Amino acid sequence: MQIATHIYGLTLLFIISVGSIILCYIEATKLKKYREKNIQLPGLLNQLDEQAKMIIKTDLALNKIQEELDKKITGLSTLHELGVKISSTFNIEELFGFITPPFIHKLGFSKALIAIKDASSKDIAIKTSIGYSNEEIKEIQKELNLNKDMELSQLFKKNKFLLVDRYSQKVQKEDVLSNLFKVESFLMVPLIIKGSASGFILMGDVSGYSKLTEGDVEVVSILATQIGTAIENTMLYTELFNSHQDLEQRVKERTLELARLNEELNRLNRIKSDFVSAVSHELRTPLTSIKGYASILMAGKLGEVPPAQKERLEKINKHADNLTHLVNNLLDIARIESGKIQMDIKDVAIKDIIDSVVDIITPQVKEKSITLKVNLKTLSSIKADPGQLERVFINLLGNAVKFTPEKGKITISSEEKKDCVEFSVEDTGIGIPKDALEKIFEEFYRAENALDQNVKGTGLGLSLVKKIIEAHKGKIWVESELGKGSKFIFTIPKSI
Amino acid sequence: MSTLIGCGISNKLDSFSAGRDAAESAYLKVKNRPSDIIIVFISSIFEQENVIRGIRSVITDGYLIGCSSDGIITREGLFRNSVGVFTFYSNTLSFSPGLGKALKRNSRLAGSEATKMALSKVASDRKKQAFIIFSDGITGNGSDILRGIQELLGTGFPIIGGAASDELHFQKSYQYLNHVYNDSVAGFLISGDINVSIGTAHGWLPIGKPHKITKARANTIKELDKKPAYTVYEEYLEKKIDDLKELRRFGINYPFGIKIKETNEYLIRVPVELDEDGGLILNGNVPEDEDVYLMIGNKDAALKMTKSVCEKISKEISRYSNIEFLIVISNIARYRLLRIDAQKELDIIKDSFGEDIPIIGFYSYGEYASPQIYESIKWFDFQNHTITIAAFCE
Repeated sequence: MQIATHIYGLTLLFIISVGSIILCYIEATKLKKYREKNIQLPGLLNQLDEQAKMIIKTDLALNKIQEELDKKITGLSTLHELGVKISSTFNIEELFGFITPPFIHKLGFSKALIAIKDASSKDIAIKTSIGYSNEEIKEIQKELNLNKDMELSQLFKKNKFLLVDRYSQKVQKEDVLSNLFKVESFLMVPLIIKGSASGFILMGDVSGYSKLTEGDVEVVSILATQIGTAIENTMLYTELFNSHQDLEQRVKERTLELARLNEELNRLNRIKSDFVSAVSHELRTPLTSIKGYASILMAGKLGEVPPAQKERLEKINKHADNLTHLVNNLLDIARIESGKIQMDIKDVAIKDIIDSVVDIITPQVKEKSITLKVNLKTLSSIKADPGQLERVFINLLGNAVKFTPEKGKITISSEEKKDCVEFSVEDTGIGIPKDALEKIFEEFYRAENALDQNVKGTGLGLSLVKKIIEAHKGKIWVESELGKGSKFIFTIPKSI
Repeated sequence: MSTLIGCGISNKLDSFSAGRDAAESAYLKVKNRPSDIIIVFISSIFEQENVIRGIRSVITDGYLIGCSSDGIITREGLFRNSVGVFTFYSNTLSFSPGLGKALKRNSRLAGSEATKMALSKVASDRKKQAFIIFSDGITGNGSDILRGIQELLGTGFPIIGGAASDELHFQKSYQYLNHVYNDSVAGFLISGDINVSIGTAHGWLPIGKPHKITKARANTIKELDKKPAYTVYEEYLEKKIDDLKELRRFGINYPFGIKIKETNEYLIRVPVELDEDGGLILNGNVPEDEDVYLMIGNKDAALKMTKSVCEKISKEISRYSNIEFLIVISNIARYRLLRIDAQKELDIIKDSFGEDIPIIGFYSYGEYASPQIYESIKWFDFQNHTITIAAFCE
């Protein structure tokens, strides 16, 4: 609709038009002259007025649509801003803190309440409010809980909004709520949490200047959905957080318990080592005497020894040797465990070590016609205690010889890896049962194998080997197939 | 430049933060220089005191003055639901504030008191150049406020100002002079070496037949065509007006236009209240026995008038070398009419005076512009639905 003033010559025209259609025009000066001369133009004026009314009506309708559209756009952009904020928090108090007076006013309301119903007691608690004093809130909360049967119950049951505008509707019951909430118009929308109406949002206005529209219902419903979802998310997050905290606490407690048990285990181990160490010491002295006296007797220094006695003396001597060996091993294990033996780490040439152990083991190997093969892929030196490393090889090779039948084969290998040198002693012996593979490094453990019943051993050798390698920060493991042989592999790190 | 103006806008939906952010932004633009005066426009959606506290947490010096507004006009754009802070630093201008209270009781006296207070703060050697005022847009009588001011400053003294608004709720508008007031008029005198040119126009057009004001008193039209005044709206609406809010809405869109004698101009008046006899209380005085028309807005006509105001001012200031800043007050009815095209109004102003000229402006419920309007007939009055511009030049 356009109204334009145009001047044609000296005449001012009022032209009222829609698009290109001129509804009416009148010369202003003529109109004035007619009035001055008291010339009645009632027909013309009335026609003009009728057209004006039509224009105003159309203009009003357009304005109303435009206002509603503007209000909706403002509402949605405000809700978008809120959405961004509430997605960043999982704290209900903080969430309600975003519902500020400017936020409510921007949506076109002057008062707001958010209330949540307690799941068990069904009591309504007002969580946040705008435009009310603390006393007013107390009063509203009290009234809501005293009259749970009023319209609110319908709101909760039907999950539908409630719109009351005093100027456009005259409903007695709802006027009670208007009075309670101290507003001229209001809109109540249920808060749906976990699928059921668990509270409500009330948005009201005291001025009543703007009538509540469908657009308001839409905006407040979106707000209720946003808040309901945010509360639900917050509750889920809180549950998850609490469960996580609980789990963490339990893990913490278990870890402490384990640490305590570990400490206890270490203490017991230390006691055991001390005990073994003490006992071994105590055993070694009489053993030395037994062995010494047996040697004196065998040498005939105390008189001629008949052959039968000599034979028994030799057995005493041999068993004393075995016992000394056992005691020495026990003592070494105890010392390594308690840290009393420090590894004397130095640069050791791999070839020198292997040559040395091959020299030592060769007589036993030859005795059983075993082929001993040395396959060194690296000849570089490593950092190790040479004496202890030699002991590892002698133990492993000794075992290999023990459990490898005549004409078998033993291979010593070494290979350089990224951070360590890997050694192995492989034999074609009787092998180790699968269930014993993890236990053979335990002290006094001897695999039950029908084939090795005749092979003597203390059950301490591999345990000692493991302790020595671990003292070098290396690892040892075994691969074996029953009846085909075993392969003991261990690593020594390049830098300790 | 002798006067530096920093502008900061915030639309944060937390009152204190919005005030603080707008102030920080404005303060930064004057490179943290001390403020001589801070002009503030705050949407009524905010808690006014909290916004002021937010502003004062950043800018502690200078008088803080302004009013609540439905929109802020700056060279950067138009901002609704916002806080606008304009901080002034000048080595040539002085700013002397004043406040008059109880408009409802006596608007004329309040206008006079605000002027007195401002005058008392002006150094005797400074030349007074203009009085900028912000009055309550809901209470009081704009014509009487203006008269009270002019009694002390003279009818020829440049006055520009606007009436505070409240997002069309017509409940409460706010005025500021360091604190928040209602029912008051706050203003400040600008003195120093500066020249002012003021222009105002609306562009609303008459529609329908004229109605004679058969009974009026001050700012109340008691009867139109010997019938209770409000019935004229019922006639055009072709239905009963149930309440005041409907009357106000209707009144903003279709105000009264009083033909100004010897001109083709119409002075716009908006009904704000109904009296007990069905008379319409307007926000400015009305003469008895004059013809009054219902007026209707038209976008093209409104923008044409904006251009015309700019051209008039441009012509007047052509002899000056430099425009320091513009004060722009546009009626909220223009925003409601123009809506998305409100930016065009700002563009016309910027095209006329330059992109870089600072603009301090807001949307009002009514405008003061004196003495340019109808000077020939010595009729200076409170306006409605206008775009009112004042250019301050060196």
